[in-house]
Amino acid sequence: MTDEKKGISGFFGKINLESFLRFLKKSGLVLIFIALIVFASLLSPKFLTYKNIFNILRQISILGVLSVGMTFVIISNGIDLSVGSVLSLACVLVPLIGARVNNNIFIICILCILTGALMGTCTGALVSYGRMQPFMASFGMATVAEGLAFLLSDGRPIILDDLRWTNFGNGSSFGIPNMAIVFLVVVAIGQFIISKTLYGMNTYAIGNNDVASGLCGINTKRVRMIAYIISGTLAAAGGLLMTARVGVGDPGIGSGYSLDTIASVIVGGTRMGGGYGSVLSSFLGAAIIGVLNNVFNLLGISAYPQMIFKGLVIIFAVLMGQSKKK
Amino acid sequence: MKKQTRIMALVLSILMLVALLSACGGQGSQSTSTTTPPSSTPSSGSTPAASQGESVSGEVDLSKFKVGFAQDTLNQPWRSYQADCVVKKFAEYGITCEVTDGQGSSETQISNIEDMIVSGLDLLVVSPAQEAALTPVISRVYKEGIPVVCIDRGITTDDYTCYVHADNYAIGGIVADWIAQKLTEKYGEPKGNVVVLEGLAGATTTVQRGEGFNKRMAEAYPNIKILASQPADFNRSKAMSIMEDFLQAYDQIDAVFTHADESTMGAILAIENAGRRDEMLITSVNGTTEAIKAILDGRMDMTVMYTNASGPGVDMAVKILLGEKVPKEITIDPLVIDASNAEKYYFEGTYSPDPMSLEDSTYTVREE
Repeated sequence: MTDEKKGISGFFGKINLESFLRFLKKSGLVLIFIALIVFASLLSPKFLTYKNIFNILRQISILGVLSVGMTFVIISNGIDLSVGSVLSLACVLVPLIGARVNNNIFIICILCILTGALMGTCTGALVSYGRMQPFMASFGMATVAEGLAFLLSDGRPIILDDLRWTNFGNGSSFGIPNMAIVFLVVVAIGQFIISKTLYGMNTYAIGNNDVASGLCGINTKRVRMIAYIISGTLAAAGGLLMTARVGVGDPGIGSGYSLDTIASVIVGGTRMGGGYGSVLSSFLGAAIIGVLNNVFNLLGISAYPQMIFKGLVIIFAVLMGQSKKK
Repeated sequence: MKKQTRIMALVLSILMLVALLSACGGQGSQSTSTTTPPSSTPSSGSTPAASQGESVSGEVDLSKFKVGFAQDTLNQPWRSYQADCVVKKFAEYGITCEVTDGQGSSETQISNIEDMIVSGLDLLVVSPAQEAALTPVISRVYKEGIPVVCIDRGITTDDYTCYVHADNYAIGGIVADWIAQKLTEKYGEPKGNVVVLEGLAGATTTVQRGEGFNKRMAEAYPNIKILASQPADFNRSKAMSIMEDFLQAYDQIDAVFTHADESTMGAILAIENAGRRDEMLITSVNGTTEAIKAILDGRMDMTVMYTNASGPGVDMAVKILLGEKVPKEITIDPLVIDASNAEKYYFEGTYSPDPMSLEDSTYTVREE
């Protein structure tokens, strides 16, 4: 096994798993996570129960799906502030499409996902071909998507009469909550793409050094745009999951998700500035945030200390990741 | 280069399509439509003034009046509905009302008010984002001779013509009383465990409802324990997650108090999924149609109507425009809606049975 990285060929196959484990171990994040779990189970006997773990998995599944998409964008040295609004838009579209166009769940899902992909395409094109700063491009798209969501829903949550959605969202298959299954499948596919496909390697490359990658023959603009399309698509998927969870098309429900998603990706170890990180580490980041929220509520810690503590955790996690770089 | 321009063209056309959609889309396009409550409610016809709407406009042409409503934010269902109610109520009198969106920020709302004044207003209706921050601009407007009607939230001084609002402290207290009464029926005395899902952390409504509730519980019902209290930000999904965690942490919960129906719907899902509906009372504030339906279906127990005050507010505004004297402050008493009277307030297809006229509510009045 070679561990020197000769350009992008060093990311082939199994080696990536090892380098990922190395990077995790180096960043100590897994240790932090384990310590967190130990602490939590000591402080609250209710923590380490199947029910609670499944609750946590369900609670982080939406954040997790969004984080997978965000990982691609951040590795490519970008940022996507629109995921929360695209989530809200997809969430609102479910009852609207169901009522007006077609009640076939498959069709509703396809249309919502396509909307997310469309939003992602716009953001990606603005960044790649319009040469806009990712922050501004995605912020603009976020506002457009949010406006659309509120416009289409008249500013109010649309109640979904179709019980199939909440049945899915609250049900389980093979003993595992459905939402968690979707989340884990998305993580698996995302990790596969980022670590084992040419596209994934190219994403790291352009994040690491855009100019050099371009000179190597990578179509950097297309790679970058596709990252945003992935992010938008997964944001819409998150919106579908949200509808399954709460049973309404709520235009305001995604607010705050954009920053939370970025936080969970960064806590996981992927760095702003690109070229480094993985989908699995974002999964870990989302899990850490989910466990923290859950433990605070189990222990009855009031809201303001919670916020302070969470902020400190984020800072600490980022510092830990930074100090181990080169 | 060619490919680049093609992609830019694609993006621009998509954006233009979106803009076009926005321009002509969004007219009541949802299952919960924004119609006023059906004419079975007295509010649509009667006004507190002895003269009916028609005869008033017969004498005076009201449409010449310019009225504006400076709303705190339109990004929240309750507030966007409140704005709709205000506009519709004014329209019944033949008056067009302009609405501005403060986007949740005091500065934006201040600018909105200043802009509206510059374009010329005969009367300002306002629901301040933050009472203290909006007081300077509102008192300036009032002192310049433009009447001001505050609805739902007021300002810190007396520089307004009329203030119509519900009383959040009283609402919190009434929920406490209702829970205590039901728990007495269950246990023989007012005791039990309660969890609270608050509203947006730091918001006036949250603080006031919380204080009203906590004070009443502490003073009158010391044996009722408040196990935990977390802000759910009026967000369905967040409320659901918090309730799941509460259910996990506490084996016996006798009652849940949620600050808003929006959060309650999320909490209900969590409780039903855990199969613990029968264990606890579910109480809430707002009085949306969705919540009332849930009461009728047995999925929750009670909600307190939090009126958006648009009905009485607009009625007072019209009286002011006609030169009549109005009370300084009208405080509308909370209205408990539970299984015993939910039928009466259920109007399918509306967002809420609000606005209700003064005839439907009990209220206290403070003259100048």
